[in-house]
Amino acid sequence: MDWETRVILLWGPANDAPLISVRRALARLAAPVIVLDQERVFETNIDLTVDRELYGVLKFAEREVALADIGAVYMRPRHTRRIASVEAVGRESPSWNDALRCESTLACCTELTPALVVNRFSTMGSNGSKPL
Amino acid sequence: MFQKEPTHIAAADREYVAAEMNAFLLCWLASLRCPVLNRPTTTCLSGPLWSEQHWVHAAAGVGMQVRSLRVCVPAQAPAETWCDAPGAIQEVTVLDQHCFGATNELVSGQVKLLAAVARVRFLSVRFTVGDGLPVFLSANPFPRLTGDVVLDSLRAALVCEETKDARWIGRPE
Repeated sequence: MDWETRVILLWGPANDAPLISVRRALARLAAPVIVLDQERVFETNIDLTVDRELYGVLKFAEREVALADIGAVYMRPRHTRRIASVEAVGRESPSWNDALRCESTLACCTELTPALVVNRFSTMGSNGSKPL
Repeated sequence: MFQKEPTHIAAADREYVAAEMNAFLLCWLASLRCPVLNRPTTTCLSGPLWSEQHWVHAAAGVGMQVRSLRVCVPAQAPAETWCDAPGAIQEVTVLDQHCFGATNELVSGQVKLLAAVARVRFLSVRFTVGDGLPVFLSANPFPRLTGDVVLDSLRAALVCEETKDARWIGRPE
């Protein structure tokens, strides 16, 4: 799969205004997009294997994409603990841990992937804002 | 500083206070001109806060033998497939160009490379040792402060550099 046909991953709450704007702009360009709605974190499945390479599969709702086919990422995730669907299950639920694992695994993917990422957590400054 | 640490702060304010404290400490540590082991990053006040996966990826990248690490979400049993690593554990510590505990030049060179990739000066790396080459197990930018040789080198790194550059913040000129 070449760069022009690779999928663009949008990660964050689907009702996030900037995410909506980017999604609309990409739709106008007919760019292939997968939206990972944080509010539906419990519909997200990740199977990640790491060694010298990074490979695996990301499933969301009815969609499935190989990590190798993701060419770019735009992410605006909120703290998973503050996502309504996660708060609703409560800290004692195994699903709570699954939601946190989903966040940390996706964060790991965005750090290690050769895809274009806007922006990696490691490049953010104090309080997750400006560069150091 | 983690959110749960400022226990003297009202629970509702702890996350905010911890974030502000981290911002202050990051700024202060980054501004110091005296020796700092390890320098802060945006993810941790001492070196990078890398995940296990990140360390494995970096270790493989510098030529170390690694076991593939698999993570599934939601968790499946077994979630991580490398916890049953057999063999004895070998720990190698690197401080700048000094390497302690390595059994051969290859390993010491790889550990130094890993420290360079992680942009830290002080790092310990654990391997499982069997019949073949050592296999990477984990890395820690907070090495244990044990062993006279390590402590002497650490003292030398801190004192010598302080002498070389005495104009660090907070010190009268």
